[in-house]
Parts: sequence; structure tokens; C-alpha cells
Amino acid sequence: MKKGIVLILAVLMVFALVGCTQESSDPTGESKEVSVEGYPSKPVNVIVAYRAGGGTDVGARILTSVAEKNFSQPLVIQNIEGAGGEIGFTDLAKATPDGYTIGFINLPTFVSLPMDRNTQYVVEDVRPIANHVFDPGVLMVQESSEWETLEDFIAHAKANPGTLSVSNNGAGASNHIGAAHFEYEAGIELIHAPFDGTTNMLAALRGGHVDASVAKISEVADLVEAGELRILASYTEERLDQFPEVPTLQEKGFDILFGSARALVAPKDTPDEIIEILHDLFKNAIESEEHMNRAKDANLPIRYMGPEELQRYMENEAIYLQEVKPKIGL
Amino acid sequence: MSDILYGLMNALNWINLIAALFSVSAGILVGALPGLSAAMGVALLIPVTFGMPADTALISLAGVYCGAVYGGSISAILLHTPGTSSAAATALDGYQLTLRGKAGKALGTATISSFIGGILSTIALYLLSPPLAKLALSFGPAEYFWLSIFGLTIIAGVSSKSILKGLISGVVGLAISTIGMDPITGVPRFTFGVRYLLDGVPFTAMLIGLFSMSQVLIMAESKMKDKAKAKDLEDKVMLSWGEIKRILPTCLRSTVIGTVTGILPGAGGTIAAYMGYNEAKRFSKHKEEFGQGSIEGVAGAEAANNAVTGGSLIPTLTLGIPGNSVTAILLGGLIIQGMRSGPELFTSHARVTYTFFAGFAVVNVFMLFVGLFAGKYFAKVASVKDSILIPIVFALSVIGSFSIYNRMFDVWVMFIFGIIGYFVKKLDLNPAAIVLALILGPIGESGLRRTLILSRGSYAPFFTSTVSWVLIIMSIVSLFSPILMEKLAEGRASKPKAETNK
Repeated sequence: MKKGIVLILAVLMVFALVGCTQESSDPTGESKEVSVEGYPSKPVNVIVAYRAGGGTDVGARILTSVAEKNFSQPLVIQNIEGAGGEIGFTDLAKATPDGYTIGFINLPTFVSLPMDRNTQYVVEDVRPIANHVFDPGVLMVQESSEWETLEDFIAHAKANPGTLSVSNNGAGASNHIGAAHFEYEAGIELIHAPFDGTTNMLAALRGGHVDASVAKISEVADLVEAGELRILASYTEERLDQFPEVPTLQEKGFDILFGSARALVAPKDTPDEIIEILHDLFKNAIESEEHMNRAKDANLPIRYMGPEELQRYMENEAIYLQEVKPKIGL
Repeated sequence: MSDILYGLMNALNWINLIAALFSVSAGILVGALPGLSAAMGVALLIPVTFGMPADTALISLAGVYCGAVYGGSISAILLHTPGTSSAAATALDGYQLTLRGKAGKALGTATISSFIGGILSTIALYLLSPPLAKLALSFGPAEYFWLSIFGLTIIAGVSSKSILKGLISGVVGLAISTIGMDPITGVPRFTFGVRYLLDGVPFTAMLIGLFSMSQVLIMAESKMKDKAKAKDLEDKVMLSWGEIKRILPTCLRSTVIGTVTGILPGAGGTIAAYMGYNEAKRFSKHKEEFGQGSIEGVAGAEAANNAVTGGSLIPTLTLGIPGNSVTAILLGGLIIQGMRSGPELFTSHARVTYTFFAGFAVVNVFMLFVGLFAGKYFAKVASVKDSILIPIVFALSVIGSFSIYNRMFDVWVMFIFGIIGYFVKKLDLNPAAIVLALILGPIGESGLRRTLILSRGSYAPFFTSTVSWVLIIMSIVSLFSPILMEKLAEGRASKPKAETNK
């Protein structure tokens, strides 16, 4: 009896030790020669900086499960959530650049966090692999609200400055930027109420605790179709395929484009050869029929971008934010 | 409706049935071992469930919770040492029955009434959660602020031993909850540049420390000695039809008491069990048997504390406000598996939710059979030496806290909170109050500040909605609950010593 327990404990301890050694072999990968040959020879960790079951996680799991079928090693999702994504982003940026740790970033959040606070990563710590999702922003109110159109909403805001409230998913988070930019361009005054994440932001709107919300279309499509929420305008160049009756802000005379992208990146010193392998893998997976069907079921708007295009997109996001943030007081 | 059926079919999948059997057995084991609580069992199990498919993980969590609450009764009856504090009331009559050679009767009563309490509270979970989840939308920032105030007032109630120590515990919890980013502006507070503290102290690792590692230290400190050995049973673990009929009204009454007590935040299994026991005595035709070995007494206590399991999940799932330390820990595990509190529970997440509910029913059925056929063997394990128990719990605590994010930082957090938990117990502070304050603190803070942002600094919105007023009144009532609890405690004449360092 006793011997058995000692044995079990010994085995458990060995597992714990294995874990520790993996951890300690982590940073300072500069001088080490990264072996590209034989890649991949072990499972690849894919960091998701948001909790399991959330929008980012669902998208990441759909893509990796399709990509895995054409990869000789498993792609293991690690949810390292917290601090609006900063903890996971930092772990990703500081990981050994050997191709065995990659991850998803969310834009503009990844670019805007280091502008808002003293983060432990900088945008240049990562190099792009491919973009996966582009989720356009929308401005919405309750279906039962008195504002049928964007003009109604703006007229009410102008007549009663500083009374209409808009919920967002966190101070300085993507939806806050979208809402504040609209407020600036429309020349109105709104109250911005930060909530803890998208679910709570929408619950505040659905419960009538705020007047409006800025969200991404995938997060609210079901609620709009169920007749609970109404979209006043989309932050896109062209009208949304799914809701062709909804006007864009541009056609109403406000030059604002806003949305959230989710992209795969690797630590900055990851070798070109590995980036190429991963890029081809994910490009094929993104464009596959299976992936497209599953993404459609999950309300994920897909937009593939290669590394160069994604790099330009990230740079443009940074320029946009630098230009807009001082104007809107964020 | 189809979601309810889907959940049921999902729970009856053979892998899930095996998971239910194992987790209930593990739960009973944890519950039966004096010193190991349900909170600890769930905290240690959560990291294990990470690798499982969502449905299996949810059912395993339910199994450990229900099993542990029931398991406490086995050692209460056979060893006069309640395995968990909520089984203290069971020991009153349960051990008397054992002394009179009717240990099998006592175990049978505990098992059957636990099953009735558990399964009926599951039905309450099915019926009461959907309307309450809809109500969740009417909870705005002001209402969440009052909800957290209401929860905090209950700390006075749960720590009826010493209100001062209860309040100190609450303040400790509130202080720890200020670590991490400011919930409104995102400014880091007390993180000292450590990024893993940005979101607050890692929750599960902290709880494993507070509940498991601290117990290791307490057990290691006291002199190792052999525990009382459980005697072999002289009768069968079963009740006659007549006896079942006799305890049935008591079971039903205690189920109502337990479910309602469970729904109220703060009040847990211990209080419900004493209330169930007292009411059983008050309504009994055989009052003279109480204290001398009454199966109605055992049934009154056991049906009540198992009914708490279903009841306590109702506010946890619908509002995200856990009623006790076990559901607080459970909530973390449920979120990881994709369950969300609030209105989505029965719309987009309905399948996950109903799988969990069905799993809850399934584990209660398994609990009945495992209890009836194997209950007496668990009592033998309950007398295992501390010298074997301590290293096992120690190893599980380290592995569990490491495996959450595969990082050593969490293991250090676990150790630090193990030491804090040790002093919490030594100073007779209340760990449940600490956990409650930890959860309620940030909810109250952001509720207060969001309300003020929306009202541009006016305090009027705190007093406009009906829900707010209901919560304010409930808070005031609960402030006076210690007086009520004192009255209740008068009925606890021959209270056996509860859990710890036996």
C-alpha cells in the first residue's frame, strides 16, 4: 500500500519537474542557433490572449483544428488571458523564437495597448504570419429605442449634449476608440461607460442601462437577427453583406473606418524559413472549404492577408491611432 | 426543449457516465476524509478538468461537489468526526445510531436523503435558473453595486462565531482584491511590475493555497497519530420501505430549506443542515429519539446540506455571484469550460448549461448507488493516516497550481497563500469570508464607479430601481442575521467538533 503511494508521488513529481525545466529554458534565445531543419519536430504552442470559449478563442480553435490536419505535429492552444490581452501578448513576444511558440494578436488592441500604458512588450517584438479575421465595427441601439436612424440619434445627442451613454468593452479598448472617433466626427458629446468585456458591454445595452454600444458585427449578428438590437450604421467602406439595409458611416458623411482584425504572429527573431512554412500552412487552411463553412457558422468574417500586407495593416493602424487618439482625448 | 434533451443525451454518453462515477467517488473520498473539504476537492480537480472535453469536465466538477457534500456524512456517522463542516449536524444522531449497532441504517438514511435533497434541488436548478437568468439583464451597474453590498453584509452572518473576526477576514479579502488593474481605467495597482498580477492574484492558485496547502501545514503541525478505526457494520446499508416513508416528509422539508439557503449568498451547507435538523425535530412524532439516534435527524440534516448544492448554483450561474466558497471555485472551472453567467446561459450557451444540469442529476443517481453499495468502504479510507495524506495533498497542490497556465509563478502564489491560509486558520479567521470578499469587492467597486460615470457624479441612480430597493432591504435584514443565527445555535446542544486537525 505504502509503496504504491510512494511510486505514484514519485511519478507526479517527475511530471512537475519536467514542467519546470520547460519553463526555465525559456528566454534569451538570441545567441542560440535555431534549427530550421526537421521543423516541426515537436508540438507548436499557439497562444491565445483571451479566455477559452470567447470570440478570439473560438476563431483560433476553428483555424488550428483545420490547419493541424496538414501539419505533422499538434497545434496546442494555450489560453493566457488577462489584462485585456497584455499578459498573453507579452508571453508571446518574449517566447523563444524557434517556431514552437506562435500566437494570435487582436488589432487594434495589440497596437493601442503600448500607447495607453507602459506595457512589457512593444509592437516590434513580433513578426506577422497571416491575418485570419476582420470583424467590422457597428454602432447599435436597442430595437425598442426611439432612434430609428443614425440621424435620429445624432439629432437627439445634439439637442441634449452629454446625456446619451455608450457602453464599451474597457477603457481605451477597441470599441471605446470606435465610439469616441464617431463622437468626434459627428460633433456630439457622449458618456462612455467602460465594461468588463464584450458580453457585459452588450448586457448593459440589452438591459437598457446605456443608450448605445459600439461592437463588432460577429458579436451582435444573432441579437440583431433575433430582433433585440438595431444597427444604426457600420464602420465599413461598403455595406455589410449580411445587413444590406444598414448604411455605412462613410455614406452618411463621416470618414471613419473601424474594425477588429485577428492575426497570427511569431516572436520577431523566428527564422524566415519557419515563417514561410507556417504561412503556407495557415493560408491553405484559411482558404479551405471546411474552414470557410465552419467560420460562417460561427459568424466569423474571414479576410486573409499575407505577412507583407499584414505588416502594412499594423503600421497603418498605428498611424491611425496616433492621429485619432489625441483628437478624441484617449 | 431540444437543448434540455441534448444536454441529457450528452450527459448519458458512456465517457461522461464513467466521469460521473469516478468524480462522485473522488468527491465522496474527499468529503469522507476529515480535514479535506469540498472546496479543496473542487480546487484540486479544476486543473485536471482543463484537458477534458467541456461536457466531461462540467460533469466531473458537479460530481466532486455533490460527492464531497455527501461524503462528509460517512465519517460523521461512523467515526463521530464530520468529514466536512456541513456534516456536523449529521453526527448528532448518526453516531448514536452507530453506537447502537445501527450504522447501516444511519448510512442508508444519509445516502437516500442526500440523494433526495440533491436530485430535487437539481429540479429547482432547472426551473428557477431560466427566469433568473432573464432577470440578470435588469441588473445594471447600480444593482450590481447593491448586490455586492448585500453579499458583504452576509459575511457577518457566515461568521457567527465572532463577527469581528468575520469582518477582519472580509477586509483581508477586499484588500487582496485591489491587486491588479483598476477595473475602470486599467491602471495597475500593487502589481510591482509583475505582469501575472495585472489581472489580480491568480485565482485558482490562490484558492488551492488557501484551502489545500494551509490544511497540509495544519495537519503536519499536529502530532501524527492513528485515527479511530471504523468498525465493521453489523447491519445492511439499506432502509425498509416503511422507514423511507417515515423520512420522506423530513427530506422534502429539508430540501426546501437547503435549496433556499443555497440560493442566498453566503449561507451554506452547515447552516442549512442545522436548520434542517431543527425543523425535523420540531415536526417529528418521535421527538424523544432525537439525540439518541433518530433516522429523521440524520435525514433532516443530510437532505438539507445536499439540497444546498443545486440551490447554490442558481445565483452562481445566473448572476455570477457565488453563494459559498465551493461555488466560487466552481465558477472558475465553469468559465474555463465555456459556461457564462447571465442571459446567454439559456440562449447561445444552452447546450453547455443543460449538459451541466443533466450531469448534476446523473451524479446524484451515482451518488445513491455508490453510497448504498460502497459507503462503508469509504469509512475505512477515512481513517487513513495523516502521514500518507499530507504528501498526497501537498503534491496535488503543487501540480494543480502549476498546470493551470504551466508556470511556476502560480506555484509560488499557491505556497504564499498556503502560509496565509495557515495563519487564517490559526487566528480563527474565516477563509470563506475572504473568498467572498475577493469576488464581491471588484464587482462593488466597478458597479459604484460605472454608476457614477453614467450619472455624471449623481448618487440618485442608486435609489431608483425596485431591484436596488429589494437588495438594500435584504442587506439591512442580513445585517441583523447574526442575532437570528444565535437563536438557531441554541439548538446545537451536543455539537461534535467540526473538521480540522483530527
